[in-house]
Amino acid sequence: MGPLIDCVFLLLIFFLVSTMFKKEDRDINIVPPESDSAVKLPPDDRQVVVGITPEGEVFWQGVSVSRTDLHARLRTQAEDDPEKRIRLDADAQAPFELVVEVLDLCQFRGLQNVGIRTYDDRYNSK
Amino acid sequence: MKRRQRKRSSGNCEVILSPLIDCVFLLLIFFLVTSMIKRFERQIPVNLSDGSSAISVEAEDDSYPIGVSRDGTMFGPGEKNRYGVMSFSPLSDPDGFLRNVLADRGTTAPITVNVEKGTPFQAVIKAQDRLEILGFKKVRFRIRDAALASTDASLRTN
Repeated sequence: MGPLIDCVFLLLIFFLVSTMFKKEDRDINIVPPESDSAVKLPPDDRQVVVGITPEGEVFWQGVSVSRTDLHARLRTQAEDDPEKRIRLDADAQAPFELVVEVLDLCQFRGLQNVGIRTYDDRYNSK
Repeated sequence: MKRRQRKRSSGNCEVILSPLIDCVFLLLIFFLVTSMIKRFERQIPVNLSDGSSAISVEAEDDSYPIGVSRDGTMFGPGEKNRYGVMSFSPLSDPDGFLRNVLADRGTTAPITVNVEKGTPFQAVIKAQDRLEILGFKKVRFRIRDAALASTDASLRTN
């Protein structure tokens, strides 16, 4: 009986730790815009998340990047897999020209599979 | 009277493990299931313009222009001045105005939203929602440096 309990406890701790790692991976402090016309999509763990804060700071997978760095990363992404999903997490108060700038960059690099994240009660809290 | 003597079985003392294992299994299955559930997330799919539109010689003027200012007010198009600059005026009943546009031009005719520079993203999404819910299928966005409200007053006369 003892080894069985050891094994089960090990699995339990593994799942506890792995679910906790997932949460703090890509979090940035933004509130996405509310939209009634957004579509529900199944989440894709492999998608690239680009974030924009109200101050105009741009994040790549939760890491703050400069415009030059963003260019380089998008270029690398386009070379590796141009069909990869890009999710744009822009704050509701971010200036629209910044959103357009990032969308333009994606278009320039040939990344066409882009979506804009919107507010969802189950995920976000104000 | 004989006193009943309890036999103490000191050698058979053991912890009951079954409830403990039940509890641990229950926790294990809970974490397994919660980590595997694929929740849906809400997104707006974007169709980015193709590269050819940037190098086309003739401007596409088949779309109907409207405007969104920094405070989220929607503007309708007015007349063009002699320099070809479109004037915009605020709409008192945006839904009614857009329904008329929809009735005139149909759902597949493109509509271009001129967004003032510095407009919060939420205001643009709100305008996009309104157009989407009314039935517009092709919505384009462009950034505009000059304030929409100043188009009438700022037109040059000389």
